[in-house]
This record gives sequence, C-alpha cells and structure tokens, in this order.
Amino acid sequence: MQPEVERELIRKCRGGDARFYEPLVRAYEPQGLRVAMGMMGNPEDARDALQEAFVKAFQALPRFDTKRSFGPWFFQILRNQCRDQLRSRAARFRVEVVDDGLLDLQGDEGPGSSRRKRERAEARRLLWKALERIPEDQREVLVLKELEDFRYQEIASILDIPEGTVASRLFHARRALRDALLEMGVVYP
Amino acid sequence: MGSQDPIRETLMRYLDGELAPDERRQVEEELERSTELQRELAIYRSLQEDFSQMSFRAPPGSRSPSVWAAVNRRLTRPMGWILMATGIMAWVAHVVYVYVTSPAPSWEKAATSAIVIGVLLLFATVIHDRIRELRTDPYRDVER
Repeated sequence: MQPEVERELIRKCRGGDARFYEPLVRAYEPQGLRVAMGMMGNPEDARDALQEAFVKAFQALPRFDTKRSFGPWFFQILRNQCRDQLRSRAARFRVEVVDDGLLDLQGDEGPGSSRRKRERAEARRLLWKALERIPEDQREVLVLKELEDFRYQEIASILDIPEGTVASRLFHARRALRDALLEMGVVYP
Repeated sequence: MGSQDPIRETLMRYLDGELAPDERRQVEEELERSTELQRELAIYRSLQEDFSQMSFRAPPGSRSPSVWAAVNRRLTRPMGWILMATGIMAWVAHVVYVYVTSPAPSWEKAATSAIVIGVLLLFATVIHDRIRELRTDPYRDVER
C-alpha cells in the first residue's frame, strides 16, 4: 500500500469511521497472520492475537505518529499482544501449524516422490517443534527475520531494541535452534 | 558471551545481507580461513532455506477468510452499547418522574420502591458472587 494512501486512511480512521480501517486490515492481515503463527505456534491463537491487535491498533490510532510507517508500529502491537496471550492462562506456544509442504507430504507416497523433498519437509516439521524449545525473545526475532524477512532496522523498531542487539539476539536464537534440532536428531551435511 | 560472539554476530549480518561491500569481503576472507565458520554458515543457510519454504493454509474450519468481519464487529459494538444505555437511562428517568409525580398514596410509593430496590440488590449480589466464583475457581480451565 502506498504510504500516502495509508496516511490518508489513518487520518480518516482517526475521525472514528471504522470503514476506512478495512483496507489497512486486509493489507496487513496475511503478513500479520504469519508473524502471529510463528509466535503463537497454532492458527486459532494466532487469529485471536491478530484480531485483538487490530482492535488495539485502531483504538491507539489517535496517538500514532503519522511520520512513521503503520507496519512496524502495528507489528509492535501484535508482538505485545502475542506476548500477553502467551503469558495469560489461556495460551501457550504449541506447535499445531498448518504448513502447505507438510500437508502435501502426507499424500506424497508415490514412486516419483523425491527423497530430498521428503527430507526437507521432515526438517521443516522438526523446525517447528524446535521453535517450541527456544526462549520467547529468541523465537520472535527469528520469526520476524526468517518468516517475514524484515530488515534489522525494522526488527529493532518492532521489538523496541537497539539495532546492534538484533544481530546478537539472532545469533543466539539461531544457535539455540540449531542445538535444539541437533538434540532432536537432525543431521546437517 | 564467548569471545567468538562478535565474529558470529557479523556472520549473522553477512547471512542476512546487512553488511557493506568491504565488510562482506572481510567476512569472506575470514570464512576462507575457518572451516568451522563455513560449517556454521552452511547450517544457518539450511535453516533459512527451510524457513523460506514454509507457507500456511487457512486453519481448517475457519469460518471467515479474513479477520476483518470480527474486527469490525468489535469496533462498532461500543456504539450499540452507548445507544442502548442512553435509551435505558431516558426511560428510567421518565418512569421515575411519572412515579414521583403520580397522585398515589405515599405508603404505596414506599412499598413499590422497596420491592424494586430489593430486586436490584438481589441481582447485584448474585452477579457479584458469580464473578468472584469464576475468578477463583481452580477448575475453570478443565473442559467438561
């Protein structure tokens, strides 16, 4: 979405008209859902977190600095929402991810199925399980980098940490993930 | 944090394309010297590849393809509450006014007031107890 269009929609939303919020919700929903899935680990909790984050963002729009981009600001709200939900009694990171590749694998038993493809799909399944084993702050930095490919500057803005800390946290997160996978028996070439 | 961490953190920036060209060259020189670093980079690249191939389907049984419908309901709900509360307050004020200014004997007004206040108090205490019970119930998470 063009930044000018985004700013104009936000200006109209601030007047209290929720109709102008719909294009913003639809524009950020796919990316938001992936981030929430990565942070919550299952589709139901991810949708709940995303929905709540959109409501909170709308209510906070009067305080939003329009010189900033809506995206990083919204993802900051979403990340806080996921954290709050994970700390509440109702939710906990639990892997129940619906991954296209994993589903395709289930029906991929024919003679033409590639061994390499199956190995990679199995690696992805274990990757989700390994994510469950690493600390929350490491998981969220990995999700923002690996699933959404945000730049370090954007990650720093979303997580509200210095840019230098992003590299450090990513290093520790990747190492923790690697160790978790090795413990689970994954063999790297 | 180990003494190897700074080079590893630079390796993260290299892996994620966050380095300037001269810094990239320095990392590549370092990589040529260290097989351990090469192996580590290969593992992180493999993780990146696995992450990049992840894609999600909509959750099975999801009623709506978008969260917009639910968000919109939440955003427009307060207006409904405001309108309903305003209407109820207007009616209550009108009924109280009609009641107070009616020519009925004062004992009748006092008895009716006692009944209405009593019913309201009973409702309030029942609701209060129910809320307290829900908050402190140790089995509230148990699915029946």
